Amino acid sequence: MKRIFLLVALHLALLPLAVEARSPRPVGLSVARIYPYNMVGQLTFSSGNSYYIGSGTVIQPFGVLTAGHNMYDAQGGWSTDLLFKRSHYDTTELSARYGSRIYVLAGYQAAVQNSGADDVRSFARDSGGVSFQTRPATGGFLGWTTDQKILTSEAPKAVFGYGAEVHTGEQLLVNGATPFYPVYSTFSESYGTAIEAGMSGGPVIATLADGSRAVCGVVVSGSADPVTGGIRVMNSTLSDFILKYLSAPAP
Amino acid sequence: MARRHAVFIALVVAAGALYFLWRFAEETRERISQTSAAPAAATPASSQTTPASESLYDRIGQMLATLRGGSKALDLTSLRRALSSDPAAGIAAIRRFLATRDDAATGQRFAVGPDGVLEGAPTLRTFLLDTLGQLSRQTGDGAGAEVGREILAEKISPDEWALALRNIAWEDPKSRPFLAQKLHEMLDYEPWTATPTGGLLEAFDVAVFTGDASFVPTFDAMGHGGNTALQRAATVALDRLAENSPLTVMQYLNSHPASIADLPFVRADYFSKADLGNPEQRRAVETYLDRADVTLPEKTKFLHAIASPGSFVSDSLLSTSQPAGNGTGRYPAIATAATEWARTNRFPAVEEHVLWLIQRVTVAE
Repeated sequence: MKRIFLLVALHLALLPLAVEARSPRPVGLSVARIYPYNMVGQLTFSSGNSYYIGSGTVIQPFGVLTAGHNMYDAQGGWSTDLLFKRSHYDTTELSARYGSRIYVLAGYQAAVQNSGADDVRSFARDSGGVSFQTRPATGGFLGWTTDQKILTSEAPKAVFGYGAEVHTGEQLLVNGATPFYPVYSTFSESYGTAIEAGMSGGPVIATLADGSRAVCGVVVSGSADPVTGGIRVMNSTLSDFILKYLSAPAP
Repeated sequence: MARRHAVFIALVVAAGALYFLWRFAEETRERISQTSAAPAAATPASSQTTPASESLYDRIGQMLATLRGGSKALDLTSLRRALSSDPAAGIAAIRRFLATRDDAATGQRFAVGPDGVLEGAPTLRTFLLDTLGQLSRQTGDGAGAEVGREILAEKISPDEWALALRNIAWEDPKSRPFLAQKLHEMLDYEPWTATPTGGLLEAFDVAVFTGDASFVPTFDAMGHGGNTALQRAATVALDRLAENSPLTVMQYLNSHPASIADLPFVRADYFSKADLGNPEQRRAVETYLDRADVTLPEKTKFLHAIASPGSFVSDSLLSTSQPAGNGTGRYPAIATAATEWARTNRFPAVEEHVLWLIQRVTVAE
């Protein structure tokens, strides 16, 4: 019964939503296993002396899109032991792959760490990827859109990820999102959309006009007061990055 | 009487005209020097005025007037297309204009696109230097490098320096030591580093291009400085330098144990770029793992990072980020080296992690 309720909750989440704060909820095992949600996975990694939980999406046959701050830290350097468990739910997953190369989309005028962990300039540039030597979803992946009207409109969309703050980090969570408003450059926020730590790197999945689903942003931040969820918007730069670095097997 | 009067008036008028012409010449000279953004580029003998270059020069002049008029409706793409339609004439027109030292802001920020070509130029001169570099590279004219060296003779604009360095690198493969020297000069110039422009930050890529280990301490110091923009650029540049010139950087770090010692996990990353199939690089790694001053957590970080090294990727002036590969790459060499380390018990303190590494790079997923 609980599973059925959560399935209904997921579908409601993809409809226009009320403005009051909403918390992420587990999608349930059966939903976690169906496309496109089975392209989302838990990403565990080591940084410095600690292990962390994050989230990611199979966005190309050999690549997972995630947040840049999952990949690099000014003190810890590059993260290691990146294990992507696709469609992970409690103790099972559809596949588990170690990343072979990791990337942060950042140049000399832009890097994720030095503007500070709470700086909108950091969030705007907060994107990265993991590439693998073997395909994490036997060639399947979830497409994306750079149509930013979907974000700012009432088009149905929801954020996904493995929240490990209130929840255990072992279940895929979903939270319906109200329209996102631009904050700075490619960083946008949605009022009332709560994000838990661990959801970073998870996708914002929107329903397009033709009924298909596509990633339109990457979860990068959350705020408790006021409750907001922050994302790095999909744009042509991020699109080029995906095609160039995440489409082929890791070198 | 009337005739004498007329002669007098004519003399006065002539004197006045001469004075006016003299003042005009003086004022023009003053005006040019006041609006100069960079040293004049001498027009070479090979760039003599032709009707085509004259026409293109006029178009640049029209763009200057448009920019000075505050127009936002810029059509720099169209100007670039015109200049590129006849590269020889375009080069001549650009050189002639650069020699006038005239300039105007475009309202764009310094932005680098694919292949090191600008997607945004903050001034008309930077736009023209960018175009000159492309045309000169295309024709093998040498003008881009020649003008570049003239610009590097004076510190007027860091954005122009960045493009001058790029243009020289594009055309003169033996210029690496010169470029390294000029970049050091740029990074030591406090008036520029105090408020770094986009061009100054993008010029950090010249260090990656030169592969010069002398930038390791420079970037290490900047990474610890108080200017966040410089910290950011230095972090990316040092990582890319280690990626593009792994042996040079590893040898420097092994011979300067204090370098980056306060960021042990970051230093481990610089060794994780190594190609263990290269005997010299493997020796450098083994020297590092033998070092008593390197802590076990740092060595452990290295053994885990080499299985999945990271890269900062973006469009840059000169260097190219590592592209996605064919999947056959580094693992066999890592497996060979690590297996030998385990067999000979070469690094007993981190044996557990050596074994982890072997499993990580050999077990099929």
